[in-house]
Amino acid sequence: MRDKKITPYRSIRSFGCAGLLKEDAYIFYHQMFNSLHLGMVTDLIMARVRSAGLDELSLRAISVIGFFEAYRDAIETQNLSGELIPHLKEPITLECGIDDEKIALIVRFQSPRLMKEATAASVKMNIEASRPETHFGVFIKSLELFSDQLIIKKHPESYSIEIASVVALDYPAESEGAKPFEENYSYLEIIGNLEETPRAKNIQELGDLDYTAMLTANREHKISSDAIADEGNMRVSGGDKITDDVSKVRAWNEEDKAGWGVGGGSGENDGNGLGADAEKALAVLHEKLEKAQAEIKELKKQKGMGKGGGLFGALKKSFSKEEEPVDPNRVGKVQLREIEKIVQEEHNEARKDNPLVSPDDLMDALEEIVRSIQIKSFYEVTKKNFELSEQYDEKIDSAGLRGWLNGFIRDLMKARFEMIDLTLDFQKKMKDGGSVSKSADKSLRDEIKKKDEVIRHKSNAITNLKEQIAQLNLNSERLKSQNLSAMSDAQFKSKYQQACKQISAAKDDVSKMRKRIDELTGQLAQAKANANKGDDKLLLRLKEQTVKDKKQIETFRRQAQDAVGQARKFEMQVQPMERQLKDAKDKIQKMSRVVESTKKDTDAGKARTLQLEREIQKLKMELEQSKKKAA
Amino acid sequence: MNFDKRKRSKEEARDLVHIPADEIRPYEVLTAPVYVYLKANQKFIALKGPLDFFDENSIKNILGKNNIFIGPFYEEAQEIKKYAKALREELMQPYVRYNDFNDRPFPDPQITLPTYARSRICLRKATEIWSSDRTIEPFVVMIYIDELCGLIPKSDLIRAYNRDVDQFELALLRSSWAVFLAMHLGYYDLDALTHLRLNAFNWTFDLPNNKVGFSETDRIIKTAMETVKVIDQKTIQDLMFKERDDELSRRLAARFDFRAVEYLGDDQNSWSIYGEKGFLVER
Repeated sequence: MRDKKITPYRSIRSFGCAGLLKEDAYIFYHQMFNSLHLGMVTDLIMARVRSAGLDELSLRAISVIGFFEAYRDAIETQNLSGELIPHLKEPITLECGIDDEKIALIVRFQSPRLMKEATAASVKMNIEASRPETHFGVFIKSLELFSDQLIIKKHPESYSIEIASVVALDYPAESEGAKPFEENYSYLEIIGNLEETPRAKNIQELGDLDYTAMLTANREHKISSDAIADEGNMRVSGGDKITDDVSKVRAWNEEDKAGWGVGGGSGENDGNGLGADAEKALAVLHEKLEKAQAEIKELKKQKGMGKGGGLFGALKKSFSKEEEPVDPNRVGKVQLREIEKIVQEEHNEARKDNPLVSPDDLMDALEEIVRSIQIKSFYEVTKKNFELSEQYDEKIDSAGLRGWLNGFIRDLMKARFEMIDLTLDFQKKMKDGGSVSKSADKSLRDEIKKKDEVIRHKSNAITNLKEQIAQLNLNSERLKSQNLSAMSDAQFKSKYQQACKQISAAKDDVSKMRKRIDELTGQLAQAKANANKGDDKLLLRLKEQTVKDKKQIETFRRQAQDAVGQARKFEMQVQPMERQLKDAKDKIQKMSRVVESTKKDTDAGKARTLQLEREIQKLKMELEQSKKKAA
Repeated sequence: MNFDKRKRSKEEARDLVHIPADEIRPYEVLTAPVYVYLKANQKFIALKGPLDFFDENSIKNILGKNNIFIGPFYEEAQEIKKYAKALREELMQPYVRYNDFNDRPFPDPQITLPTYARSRICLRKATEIWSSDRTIEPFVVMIYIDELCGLIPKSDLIRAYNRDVDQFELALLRSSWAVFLAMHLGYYDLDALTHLRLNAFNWTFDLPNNKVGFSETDRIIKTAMETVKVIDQKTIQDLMFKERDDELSRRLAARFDFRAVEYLGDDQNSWSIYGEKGFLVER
């Protein structure tokens, strides 16, 4: 898979799928705040990209593994572990993009913890290790297994980490400048600003897809051209229809199928039957397989790993060399190498001028099978092999070869499962046998572990202290900046305006009170005049009224005095503010003068450049004229 | 916030809404000017303007002893709040519902709502307050988000108000706009939206624009700050995101287009703080 050619990424130093895909890519994203319905989200992603014909289960595995590691990490970081279904405060972004070469699946999240753990060295170590020890190690190792290339991007300033799994399509478009994947993984630590993500043709939230129709359609989904066409007509944003990408995928399939030259293009072979050399080679291969099966049977009888050769000999040898439990991945690799060797040998012997079935293609098929056995469940393997045999049915015209290949795959499958049984038996045996010698080691290991834990605790305490110190420094800086910002002009201005408003309000109140006092004194004078007229009852009332009024006047006077006092206070406060405002205005005027002078300078400069340009043009003209003259 | 008609004549009583004092909650951001009737002057005098708030004491001492009237935009605001409440109820639906089964909670996965469906509901509901011409007023967004996310904590509100009133008002508008943008980007979790709002509110004070971080939520806040620049910004046009050249704006533009086709009708309700029912005269 990793030898497939893809165009170089448009931007590696930016977050998002768009940088890894071509401009005409389609990108789908979704924000997740908890783990519920993740399956439904992956259903939708798969429904959308299924038409590309990739291994759906691998893509699902990438999404699920990626999300759960991010979720687990976020729960720890945000201290949400006490909740039944923890809801994140910062979402985890799932992104899936597809172009005519590849699919990119991205998980982006924030993790202060991984800022320390995810380093170039640790990534390399974990990917190369057969059994990573940390969560992060297992996480990236698993993703690396399912991807053609794993890209880990870390941006320490935002505590963000983005893990992108790139999987090449089965039939990628041939583009100029396309190269095979250089590495199976890539680690990038972005310091400073992130690059702006390049533009993509269509970017869409998963919720905007017509998911009801998609999921219903997928229930009856068949990988056929009709189904692909239907799926391609689903609604997307702005009422557009996605037809281009699907039709492209379909076109690749058809084109590649047509161009797949099994038995074609050769003068000796008519395309319907196998050449005699190839028949011979295949017969030899079949024989080898039978031998291998016989060996397995023998091994089964012996239940040991002492003797044997051929295909499984190497496997047995590798078992006998290693004392630790057998790694199933290693088993697969050894076998693959062995099969490769046999196929190559047989091919070299049998091949003369025109190969009917390219050994590379056959190897690809075998590699696919062995890989599938290594990493997938029985269901996946069967499904994959079924698809593979279907693929070969179409490509291979010869009924004989087709039959042989199906038989070969079936036998190989059988052999593999028998071998897995044997491996498991062997592991069990090894465990039983080694338990006595291991018990002594165990106590030592326990002690070492304890000491390690103590050291880890101490180092954690140190890092905590460092973090606290850093936090304190940050706080002090923030406080400083707050003090500075408090004196900003805008704030000062608003305070000044507020004070002015209060003064004017107080002045209004004082004037109102004066008016009221005048009115009351007028009433008093009138009452006195009436009293002189000798109306006793009225006099009494008026006297009472005057007493009341006097009291009111006194209270008003007091209020007025208070208001005047307040107004003075405000004036006192305002005076220094006014001075500061004046200073600020002076500064602004100075600045504006400077700006004006620089403007003038720039204008003069512009004029000068214009003049110079004209002179240059003149000189050019003169030069041309002189050339013409010379000619 | 600036508003016209700080004093209203007795005759204008018909335009105002009389509300009992207990209907005003302490530290709830006001959606229209609040008036008190002075018998002596025979006039309505504005006590507080929009985007201001009352504390417990002022409610007890001033509002409790007087007849309180509120500007006509109050009714409009109540209508906007109804839409927000509907979305809130939708988002408050449990992710997993339970049936009683042998006296123990038993999950029934058949009636749960997928996350992407929630995201779509958010978009559909948020469209209800956009105008047909794809514009919206920041103040309308503020009312909607205030109802959706609930009150800003008292301590944050007072701290911000005491520091700078203008910045406080701008922070209210920007933080609401940030949450509104997040909703359009597929943020459907109410807790997360509330958290984002508070962050955005505090960042207007604590961080200058150029120092906002790089995470997705940081970039949403930054975009909100860049698109709501001043308190008296009249409207926000969603098409402006097409002109911006950053990943977030591209996503927003795509979502706005989708929404325009799917949900935005020609007969959308539109609310404005300008004009007869508003509190500002269009100049």
